[in-house]
Amino acid sequence: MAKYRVLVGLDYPPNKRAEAGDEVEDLPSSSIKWLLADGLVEEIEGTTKFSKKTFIAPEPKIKVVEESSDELDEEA
Amino acid sequence: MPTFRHGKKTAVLFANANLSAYLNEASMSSPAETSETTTFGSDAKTYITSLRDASVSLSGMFEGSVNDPTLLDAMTSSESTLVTICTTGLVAGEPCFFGVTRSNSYEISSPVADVVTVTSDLQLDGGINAGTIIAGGVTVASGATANSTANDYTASTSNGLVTNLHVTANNGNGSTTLKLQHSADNITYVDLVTFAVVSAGIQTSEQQTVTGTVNRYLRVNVADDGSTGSITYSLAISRR
Repeated sequence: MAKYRVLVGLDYPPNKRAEAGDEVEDLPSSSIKWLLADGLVEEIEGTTKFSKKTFIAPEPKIKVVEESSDELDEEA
Repeated sequence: MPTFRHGKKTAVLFANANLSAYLNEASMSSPAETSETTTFGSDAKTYITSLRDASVSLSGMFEGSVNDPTLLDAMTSSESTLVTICTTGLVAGEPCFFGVTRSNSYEISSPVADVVTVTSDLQLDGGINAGTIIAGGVTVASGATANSTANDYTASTSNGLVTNLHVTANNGNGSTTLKLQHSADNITYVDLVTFAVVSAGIQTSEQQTVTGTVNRYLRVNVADDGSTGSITYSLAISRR
């Protein structure tokens, strides 16, 4: 389940209270979108299967082929 | 069809007191200066709006124990005093006008054949705020944690708000924390304004201003850690 760090004190059902700095994972699902949009909570990375991970593609392997000077002369 | 209002329900909160039971007239004036910008060739004078001003006038009966010390204190104090006037009573969602006063006159009239009356003219510092009551004359028992009814403003705003809190009665034996909270969904409420903790037995008033987003729903959250007595408060807000 996704975990969020509370940035401003908030009350949520059923009769729960979280102060700034608390980490919670039971926020109402309908509230999470606007709480994130308003910057009132922040998602703790790695706590959800939907967490965004930066994908770094491997560098492509480049094969360097040296052309002989004779071939270059013939082309010229 | 317009809904007109009768003045009999008017409520006046002044500093830490509800003076409604002592007053019989409250008026508010908010004139705006205009500066002339007429130039040669004009056929009519032109103006631009300049500075707004505001004042409040209160009058009623002299009682000598509650309203007059309160008004007189405001006259002699260098501190500013908060005033909130509600033309339809202390009812959540109803309109009100509020501001910070610098009292500039206080008059007692004692005619031989009539009741002793009092009049006070108040200069507002920073203009008048037109807003609504979030919670009016709400009493919370000591030891309780309570939320006022949610006020739905149908949409959020982005320029903050200004709010007046009046604690007009307090015989509780604990400390009370009052917060104005906002919400976008009326489910989760986030602290927007946290007022100074009110100590046991203290009546007070406080104005606060916040900037930024104010969500659609507003309510007051009160937490009291006492065991006997209660606290009565009213809170007005004006979105900017």
